[in-house]
Amino acid sequence: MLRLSKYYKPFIRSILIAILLLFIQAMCDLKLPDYMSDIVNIGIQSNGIEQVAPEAISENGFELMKRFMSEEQKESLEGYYIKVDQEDTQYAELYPGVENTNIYVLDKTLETSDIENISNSFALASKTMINTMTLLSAQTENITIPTEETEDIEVNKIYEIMPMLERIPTETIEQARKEAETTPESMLKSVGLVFTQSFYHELGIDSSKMQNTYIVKTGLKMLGICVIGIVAAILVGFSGSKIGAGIGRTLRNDVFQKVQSFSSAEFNNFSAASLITRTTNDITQIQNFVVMMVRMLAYAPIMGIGSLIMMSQKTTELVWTIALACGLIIVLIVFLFKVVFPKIKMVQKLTDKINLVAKESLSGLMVVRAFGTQKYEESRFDKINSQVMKTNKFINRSMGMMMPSMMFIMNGLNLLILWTGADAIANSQLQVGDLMAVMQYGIEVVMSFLFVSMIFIMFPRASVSANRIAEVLETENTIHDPENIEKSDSDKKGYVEFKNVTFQYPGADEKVLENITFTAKPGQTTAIIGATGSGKSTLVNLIPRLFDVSSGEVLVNGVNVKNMAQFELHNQIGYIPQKGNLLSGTIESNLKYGNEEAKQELIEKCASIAQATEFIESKDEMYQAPISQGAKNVSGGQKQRLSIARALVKNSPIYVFDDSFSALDFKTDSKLRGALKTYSKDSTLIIVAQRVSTIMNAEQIIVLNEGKIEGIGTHEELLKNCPTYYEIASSQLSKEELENGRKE
Amino acid sequence: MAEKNNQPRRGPMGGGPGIRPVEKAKNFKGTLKKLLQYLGKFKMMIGIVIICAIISTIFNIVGPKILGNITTEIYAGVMQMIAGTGGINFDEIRRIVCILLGIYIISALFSYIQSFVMVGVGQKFTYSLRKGISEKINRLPIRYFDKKTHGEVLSYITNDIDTIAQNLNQSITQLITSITTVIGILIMMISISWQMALVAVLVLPVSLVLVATVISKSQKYFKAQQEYLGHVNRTY
Repeated sequence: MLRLSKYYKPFIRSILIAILLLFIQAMCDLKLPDYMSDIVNIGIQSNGIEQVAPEAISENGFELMKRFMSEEQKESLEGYYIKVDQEDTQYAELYPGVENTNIYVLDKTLETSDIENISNSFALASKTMINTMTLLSAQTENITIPTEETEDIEVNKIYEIMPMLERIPTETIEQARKEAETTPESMLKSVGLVFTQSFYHELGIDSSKMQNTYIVKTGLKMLGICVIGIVAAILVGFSGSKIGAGIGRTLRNDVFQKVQSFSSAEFNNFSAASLITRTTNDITQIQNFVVMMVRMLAYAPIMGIGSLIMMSQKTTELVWTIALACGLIIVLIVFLFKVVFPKIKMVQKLTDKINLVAKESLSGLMVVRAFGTQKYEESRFDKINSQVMKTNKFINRSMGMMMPSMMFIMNGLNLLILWTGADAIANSQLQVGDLMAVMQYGIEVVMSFLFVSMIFIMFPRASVSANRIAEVLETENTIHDPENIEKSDSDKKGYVEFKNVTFQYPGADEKVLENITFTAKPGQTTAIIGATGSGKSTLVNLIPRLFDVSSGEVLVNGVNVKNMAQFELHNQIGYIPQKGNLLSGTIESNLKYGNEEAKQELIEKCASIAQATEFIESKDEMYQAPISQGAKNVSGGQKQRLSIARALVKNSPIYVFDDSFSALDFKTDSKLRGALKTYSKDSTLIIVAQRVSTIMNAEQIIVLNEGKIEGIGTHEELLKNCPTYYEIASSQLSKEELENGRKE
Repeated sequence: MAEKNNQPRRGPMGGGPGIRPVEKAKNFKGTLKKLLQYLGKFKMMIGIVIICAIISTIFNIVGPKILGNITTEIYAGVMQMIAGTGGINFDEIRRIVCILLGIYIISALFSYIQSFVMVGVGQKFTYSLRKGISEKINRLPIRYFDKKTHGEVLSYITNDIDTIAQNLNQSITQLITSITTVIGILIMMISISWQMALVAVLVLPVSLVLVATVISKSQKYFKAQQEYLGHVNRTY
């Protein structure tokens, strides 16, 4: 992955923006359980009352609460509450109970810290009151505790016993307060809220309406946060895709350009199929991985750590449960991969094997049928096929354990949190809503942990792809343009000279060509003949510098090809390959391939020289007739003729025919050569052939045998001096023809 | 032969104007039928898979409802604590936790049995498909191989069959679990509160419409992407 790092650089800004957006998304997602906890704690459990300090309280209630407060608390309370008279209609709508009593209203301008202080005073007073009652009821039987119904305390009943409360000794109250002070804060708050609720009830405030308002308010907040989160998520998706596709595009472009600059030596290193996979599959892999990275790799840790922080704000008691779950998951993953990974590697090898066997039975189809060995091939395939099945079964069954186990761990985590959380609640360290939020955070942490580990699993695969791409991009071209380009020698235009050329393929031991020396002159035909594997094609491949010579020199126009610009060199040469490769398009687009500006006249002329006119004109669309991919809709001979015409249209001083007449019948072959001779009378023709008849009339024939020149000369000379040539010729020509040649 | 090969090998379904469909089955129904026929051999196994999937899903769905009982129990306990009249009933909670643990174990177990059996079916299926192709190669007329490159046939044997296996495995399992989950959860939700269930169900069409519009818009680009990748491929 690192080898491609320069491709991520242009996108750093987008990546940073995406990460920022992810933070926003995570914040939103993290805030949601918090609000849910609020809905449970405040909305449902305390009827939507957010604070213990009542916003308004009846005079009776105020006096009652003050009775159970310490002196300082009482004093501090005075400044915060404003007395409103019974007659004042200002609050009638808000607090209908104001008709019957004077009320105290909380100063709206107070700071939150002050309100918290007041809340604490009220909560403490509430608990103190309950404790006092409990103490009293222990002493005397006849005092009823008015707090049996926790949902709604009948405050009026308490007011009735107010005179009695006045008589309670201060020591008792002090004792009760001391006890109350040891009660946990969340418990105090809950008790306080129950009283506050009763005071509100007394004033005629509709508590269910209050509850609804609170839940709707919080719900709307949640909805808003949800929307922000979704927008952030969508934007992340956008920028992620953009980054991925952008990296994919630059990579594909670069790989393609690199491949275009490859010489045959590099092509031999990678197969064409592998180059295709590298530009398509592998880059798509990278592209998808980048999108995943942006969306998940960045998100998971943010979410995981965020959840942990949020969770520990609620309680630190339960963090160990998460650690336990994560630990179990690690053990599970490591175990599975220890078991499964070697098998996955094995499947890859087996798939290669299955491919190999299938490929062999495909390419050897004729042989298999001719020898009737179908059963053998089938059993060979079957053996590997069942091996693949067994290994795949093992892998998939092992991996199948993953999901159920993960589910079990998650569910178990929930149970554990509930079980230990219940304890914490019993000790008043936690509220119910918080417990539910903690459960969600817990799942969140474990999930993000899973994602991170998943990326660790995906990473090696993407990394393999990245390496395969980097291999192509980092391949040093063996053939470069020279730094100082030599001008061609105008006296030697069209000359092709080999001086003591020796060649061996890179990495090979054997020499394919040895000490080749000859000169091909313009206006002449130089033919190269020899048995298969004698190095004919390799020899002509050296002329357009498809390979570099190992020693010696190849000169075109009197200049060493190593000192020419490749573009200039290729411009000099019309090359007709052994297999007439055409590109998808039309006949015309193919013929114009080497010469964009060619006029219709020239195209038709060249087509007629190549003896292609007849079949072109038999087509309905003539020159606009389509050529399919791989030129499957024209025959081999037609392909050869079209590729000859294509080279002729280029109108270059040197033509190289690499066995380009092999698929033509004898008559077409000779007609074509006749027309060629007139058209290219000033050009240098270099023809590789297997048929003696094709080259008999050449000015110069080179006989190759195992990479060495066995003889150079005309047909007649060679028949006399060169046994190898005579051998070839005698196998192809009739006796009279041979005799004629010898006599002349 | 020159003219015939010129046409795209996979004919356009319904003939979308100008757009060449990417790798779409020629005859989806027919292909499906053939696949099902092949699968017929595995009737028993698939039956087991279905039963296991249903059991596992049911237990999976029942879980949260029982889990809810714990929360309720804790909540009730807290209310009593506030009133000072009692506390959380830990015995009850322990009982529910034990029940849940059992449910989770059963759910996981059946889910694993289901995947275990399904893997067997999928692998045997791919094995027999591969075998079938390897034997068919020896019976096909030679002409067939003039039209198809070796690479294509090879990719049938490896890639395409792998894809079928994967999809088969996932699709069947997912189909069963999804249907059971939807029905089960619906029943659960209704049993908890039919009003809330109704709200959740009402959201579905909205999201469906949303998803449908997004897909209909994006499908075009997926096709285009696939096609351009093909172009890149062809340039070599």
